[in-house]
Amino acid sequence: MGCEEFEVLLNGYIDGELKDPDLKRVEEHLAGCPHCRKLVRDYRRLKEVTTEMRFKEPPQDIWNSYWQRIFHRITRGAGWVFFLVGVVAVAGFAIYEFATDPAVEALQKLIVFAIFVGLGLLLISVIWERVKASKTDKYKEIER
Amino acid sequence: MTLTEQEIISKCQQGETKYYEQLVNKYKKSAYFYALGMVGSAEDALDLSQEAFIRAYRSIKRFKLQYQFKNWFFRILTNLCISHLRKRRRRAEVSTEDSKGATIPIPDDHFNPHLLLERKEIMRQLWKALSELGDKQREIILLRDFQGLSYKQISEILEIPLGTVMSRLHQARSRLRVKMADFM
Repeated sequence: MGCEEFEVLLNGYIDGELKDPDLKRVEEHLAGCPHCRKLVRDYRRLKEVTTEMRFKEPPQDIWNSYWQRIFHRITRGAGWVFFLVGVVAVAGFAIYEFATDPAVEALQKLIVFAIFVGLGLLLISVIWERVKASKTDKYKEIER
Repeated sequence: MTLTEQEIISKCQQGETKYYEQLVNKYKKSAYFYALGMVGSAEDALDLSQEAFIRAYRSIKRFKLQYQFKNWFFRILTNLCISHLRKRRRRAEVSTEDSKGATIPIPDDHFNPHLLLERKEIMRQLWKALSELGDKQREIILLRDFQGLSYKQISEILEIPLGTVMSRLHQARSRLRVKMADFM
């Protein structure tokens, strides 16, 4: 086994993650290889520096409001579900009432039905166009 | 009464949102600083870390209690950061084209040394060197040396074998060593 193959194991060695028999083999190799001993010294120094690096703390009010922002987003999702379920239920009930109301003439029902079907088809066509365009739109990542 | 992490997750799985605050408070700093190391922007790190908590909560019913929440959560956060970096690169490519389609170089204000607590030359150089690593190399250095995670934890988070953890760490540290040669 040459130095190159040991080099991969050296990081495991300095991190204390090696177990026998790899640990023993690395220790034996290090005893007779100044090149790898130098690598171990360099990696240890590098590790010292990386573990010392610290970032600035954001202002305290960021931490204070951190949970609130998450909580609002989580509960907002549930709010939308309830709202949409409610809207669908009310719309369904209204359509049923309108369709079964004997006081409304068949022609009136047909006209209202045509308006809603038309709106629905327009909406579907716009959504379909957007979905197709988004696959090839190179500007889709741009925030509007 | 202090609840264990598993008990808290169990409560969250039953829809008791208020308990999730304890998990958020426990991991918010490590999540924020990990994201900051990955994307090099304080605003983006804040957004990404919070988004990861929201996504984790939305999937918490699927979380299996025999695993560690931290590993699972960091997998979500890592994926978000990598996806964010890809989008940012694509955005930069598009937004730097002139009217003839030629690319105009724009200065990248991410990975600014002002984000560092100590701005000694060695720290500035390390921060610059980290920013120049590939995303996968940077993530493994951050998980090991900044978060202090074991190879086993890293292998669970990144869903890669232990051998790959070691070889990827070796590649990342070799590149860092070259870039930091003046300080070795």
